[in-house]
Amino acid sequence: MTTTHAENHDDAGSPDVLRVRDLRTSFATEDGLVTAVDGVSFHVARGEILGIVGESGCGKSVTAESVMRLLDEDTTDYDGSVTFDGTTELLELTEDQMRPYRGSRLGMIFQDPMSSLNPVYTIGNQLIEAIRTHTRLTKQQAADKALQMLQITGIPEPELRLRQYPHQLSGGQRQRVVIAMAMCCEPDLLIADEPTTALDVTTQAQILRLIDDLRCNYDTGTMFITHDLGVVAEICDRVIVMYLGQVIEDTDVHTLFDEPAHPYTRGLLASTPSLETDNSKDLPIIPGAVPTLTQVPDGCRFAARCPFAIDECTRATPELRPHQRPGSHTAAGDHLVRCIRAEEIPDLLSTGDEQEDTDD
Amino acid sequence: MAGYLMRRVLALVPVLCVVAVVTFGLMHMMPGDAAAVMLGPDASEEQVEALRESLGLNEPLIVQFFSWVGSALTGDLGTSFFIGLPVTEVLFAALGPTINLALLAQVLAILIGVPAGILAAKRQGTGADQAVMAGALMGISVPSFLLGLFLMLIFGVWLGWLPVAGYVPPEDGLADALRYLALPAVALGSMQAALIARMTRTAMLDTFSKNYMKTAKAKGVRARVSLYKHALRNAALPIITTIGQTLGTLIAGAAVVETVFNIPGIGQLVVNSVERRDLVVIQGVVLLIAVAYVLINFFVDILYSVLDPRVRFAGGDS
Amino acid sequence: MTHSTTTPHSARPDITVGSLNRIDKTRSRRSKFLRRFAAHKLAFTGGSILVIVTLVAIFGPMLTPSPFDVAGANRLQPPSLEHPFGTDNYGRDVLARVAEGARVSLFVGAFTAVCTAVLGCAVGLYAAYNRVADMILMRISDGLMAFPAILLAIAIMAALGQQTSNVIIALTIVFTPYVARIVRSSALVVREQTFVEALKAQGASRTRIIWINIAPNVVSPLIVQATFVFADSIITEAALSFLGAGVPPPAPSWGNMLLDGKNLIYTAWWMTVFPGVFIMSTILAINLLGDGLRDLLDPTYRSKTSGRKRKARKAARAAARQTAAHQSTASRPTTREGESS
Ligand SMILES: Nc1ncnc2c1ncn2[C@@H]1O[C@H](COP(=O)(O)OP(=O)(O)O)[C@@H](O)[C@H]1O
Ligand SMILES: [Mg+2]
Repeated sequence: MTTTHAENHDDAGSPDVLRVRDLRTSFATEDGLVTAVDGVSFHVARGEILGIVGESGCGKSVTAESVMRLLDEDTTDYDGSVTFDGTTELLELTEDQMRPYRGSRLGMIFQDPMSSLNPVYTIGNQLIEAIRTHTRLTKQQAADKALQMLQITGIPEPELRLRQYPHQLSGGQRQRVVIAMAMCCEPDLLIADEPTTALDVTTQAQILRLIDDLRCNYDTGTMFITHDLGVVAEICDRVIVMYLGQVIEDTDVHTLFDEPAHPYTRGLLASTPSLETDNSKDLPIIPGAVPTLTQVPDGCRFAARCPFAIDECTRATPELRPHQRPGSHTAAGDHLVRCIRAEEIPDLLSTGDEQEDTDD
Repeated sequence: MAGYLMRRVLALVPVLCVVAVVTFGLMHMMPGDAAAVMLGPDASEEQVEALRESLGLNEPLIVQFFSWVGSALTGDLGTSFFIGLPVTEVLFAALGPTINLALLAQVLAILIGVPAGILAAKRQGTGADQAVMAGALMGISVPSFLLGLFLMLIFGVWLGWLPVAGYVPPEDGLADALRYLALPAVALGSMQAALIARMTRTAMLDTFSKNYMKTAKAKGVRARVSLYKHALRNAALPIITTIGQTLGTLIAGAAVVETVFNIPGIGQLVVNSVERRDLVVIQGVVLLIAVAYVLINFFVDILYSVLDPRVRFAGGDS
Repeated sequence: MTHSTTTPHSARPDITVGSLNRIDKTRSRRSKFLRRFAAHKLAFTGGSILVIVTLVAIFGPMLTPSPFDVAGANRLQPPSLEHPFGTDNYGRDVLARVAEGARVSLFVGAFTAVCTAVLGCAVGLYAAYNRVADMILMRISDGLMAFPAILLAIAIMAALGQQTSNVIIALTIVFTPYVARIVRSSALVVREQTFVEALKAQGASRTRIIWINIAPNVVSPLIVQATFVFADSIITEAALSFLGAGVPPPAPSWGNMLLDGKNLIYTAWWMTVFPGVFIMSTILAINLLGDGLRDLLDPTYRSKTSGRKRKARKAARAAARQTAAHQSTASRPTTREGESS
C-alpha cells in the first residue's frame, strides 16, 4: 500500500473529501442519554482508504451513520463538524439539503447484504431507484446503467440478476449488488461498514479487490470499517483505532502494524492470526469486555482491561496526542495516540516478556 | 409455486374434516332425542318417529355422518323442517344482504384503518399516535351490535338523518341501498377498522427498523417514497393476513348487526331458526360460513404468495 | 362485536420468549409487581373501573329494588330520583336490572375465563410436549377456529338449550383453542431450553416436567390471554343474549336488556343507553387491564410500546441542555435522565 496520501492533509487546500472534527453523537434512550461517539476526528483524502477498526460496539457504525446522517434525528444529537469536500458542513444541512448528497456524492455499503436489500423488489428495481433518484435518466437508460454497474462488480449473469429478487442471490452476489448500488452515482466518498464480515474468505478477498479497484478508477475516498486487522493490512492506507466511542490511535497502516503505540492496539494485533503466528498456540485475547455506554469509566476508558494501567490512568481522560517514540521513522504528528504511557510500553514489555514466558 | 399450492391444498383437508365433524356433531349434542326436541313437547309419537326417519337418526352414527358429508358435497344440506324448503335454497336467499353489508363494512374498515395505522406509525409517540391508538381501543371495546344500537339511537331516532331499520337491495337504487346500509356498515366496520389500524401500525413500525429502510435513506430516497414504496409494501403482507383472518368473523358479525337493523340476511335466518330450533338450517349456516372462512384464508395465502417473492419463488433458487 | 370474540387473539401480538424466564415467585417480586401495576396508569385505570363494576355487581342488587318486581303503573318511566336509570316496559327498575345483569355478565365472563385457562393450559402443554398429541390437538383447534366465535356459540346454544350454564360451556368450547395455541407456543420455547433437557436426562417424569417445570413459565402469557378471553366472553354472552340465544329471561343480562331496549328504542332510550354504557366501560376496562398486564409481564413486548420515543425525545432535549451547560468540564454522558422525565 502507499503512504503518500497520509501526507496530503497537511497541505493547505488539501483534497480531503471528508474532515470530521470532534464528532459527538448521543442517543436518548430509556436509560438516559448515551454518547456512542465521543469526540472523534479524522479525515479521508480522495483515493485514500481509511480503515476504522475496533471491537464490536465501539461506535464504528454510529460514526459512519453520523456522517451520512442516517440516524433517527428524533432521538439523536449530533455535535462537532463534518466537512464534506472542503466546503459543506453536513451536520448543518436541513434534511432536504442533505438528501441529494446521500447516494450520489456519499455512497454507503452496509454490513448485512441480505437485510439491506428490500425483499419484495427486484435487484433491477432497487438499482434503478438509486440511479433515478439522482439523475434524469429514463427508465431504460437507468436500466442500462444498472447493468453496467453490475458488470463492473463482476457478478455472474448480470442481466439475469436484474430480474431476480434478493433471496435468489448468494451472499457474495448480494454484496456486489449493494456495492453497485453505492457506486452507481460515482460518489466522492464511499463508506463501507464491515462489507465483508458476513462473507466467506474467498468472496471476502474478491470484494476487497473490487473496492480497491473502484477506489483507483473513480478516485473515491473510502471509510472502511472493520474489526478485522487482516483486512486492514490488505486494503487500508491509514487507520484509526476506536475504543468505546473514542479514537485511541491514528496512524498509517505500516506504523500501526510495526509500532503500535496503544495497549489496546497491541492487544488487537496480538489477537489477530497472521501467517507468522504459530497456529497451534491459542491466540491471546484481551481480557474483560467493553464497558457499556451507561457506565463509561473515568479517566482512560481502557484502563480496566489494560495490563499497563497505573493510578494515573484513571485520574483524567488522556488526550489524543502525537506519539514521540525516539527513532521512529514516522513524521511527527502523523501518529496520534491516547495513552499517557505509550512511550514507556516497549521497554516495559521487553522486561515483562521474559517474566510472562517463565509464568507460562 | 406449484409445490406451495399443493401444500396449501393439502393443509385444507384436516381443517375441513374437523369442520365437518363439528358441524355434524351439533345435531347430536342435543340432550335427548333431537327429533323430539325440535318438534317440541306437543308433538305426537308418530310425528317424532317420522322426523327421525327423515333425518336418518335411526341409522348408526357413522353411516349418518358419511351420508351427511356425501350429500353436503353434492350441495344438499337437508331440508328445513319448519320452512319446508331445501336449506341451500333458504341460505342463498338470505346471503345477498349479508354479503353486501360485510363487504361495505370491510371496505370502510380498510379505508379508515390503514391510513390511521400509517399515521400512527409515522408519528410514533406523538398525540396523533395516541389519538389513533385510543380510537382503536374504543373500537375493539364497543361490540358492533351495541355500536349499532347507539348509532341507531343518535342518527336514526334523535337526529332522524338515516333510516332506523330495513334493507333496500342495491339493484333497487344504489343511493337508497347505501342510506340503509350506512349505519350497519359503520357499526360492523368499526372494530375491523380498529384491528386493521393496530396491525398496520405494528407492521409499519416493524419495517421501519429494517435495514432496507436505512438503505433507501442512504440512497437518498425521499422519506415519503420510502414510506409508501418500501415500508408499506412490506407491511402489506401481515395486514392482508389480518384482513383475511377477520373476514369470517366479519360475516358472522354482519349476522348479528343485521338483527339490530332488521336486515333480512343470514343473521335473521339464524335467529329465527334458533327460536324454531330448526337445527338443520343452523347446521347449514355454520357449515357454509366455516367453509367460506377456510377458503377465504386459502385465497389470502395464495395472494400472499403472489405479493411475497420469497414465497413465490421458494424452491426455485438460482 | 363478534370480531373481538375471535380476532383480537390473532391481532394482539403473542406473548413470547421474554416472559418465560420467571420460575420462582417470591413475595418481594409480587409487591414489586403491585407497585409497577399502580404506576402503570392505563392498567390501573382499567383495574379500578373493573373493581367498581364488580362492586356494583356485588352490592348493587342489595341496595336497589328487586330486578324482577313488575309494576304496571310504573311502566317506561324516564330516569328520575326514584329510578335513576328509569324503568322498563314491565315497570322494573333498570338500575336494579343493570346491577343484576353485571352479576350475570361478570360471572359468565370470569367463569369462562377460568375454565378456558385451565383447559387451554392443559391442552397447550400436552401439545407442546407430545408430537402426536400436538398433531391431533392442533388440527382440532384449527378446525374449531374456522368457526366465527359467535356463530359457533349460537349453534352450540341451539343444540344444548338456553341456559346460563350452557352459555359457559359454549364459550369455553369456543375460546379454548386460542388459549391452547398461546400456551403451546410459549411452552415450546421453554421445552427447547437446556434445563428441560437436563431434567429429562436425570429421568424426571413427564408429568413432573410438564407441570412443575414448564407450566410456571407459561403463566404470564396465560394470565394476559385469560384477561382477553374474559372480555370476549362478556361480549359474546351479551351478543348471544341479545339474539335471544343466551341467558334466558326473565333473568336480566346486559344483552337481553338491550334486546328489550331495541324494541322500544323510540320510546325508552334509557333502556338501551344504560346497559350499553355498562358493557362498553367494562370491556374497555378489561382491555386496558389486559394491555397493561401484557406490558408489565412481558418485557419483550414492553420495549415496543408507544410512549418510548416520546419519552426518549424529552430526555434528549433535557440532556442536550445539560450537556451544553457542562460541555467545557465534562464530556461524559448524563445517565438515568430518561427515568426522571
Ligand atoms: N439508536 C441507538 N440508540 C442507543 N444506542 C445505540 C444506538 N445505536 C447504537 N447504539 C450504541 O452505540 C454503541 C456503538 O454501536 P455501533 O456503532 O453499532 O458499534 P460498532 O462499532 O460495532 O459498529 C453500542 O453500544 C450501541 O449499543
Ligand atoms: Mg457495526
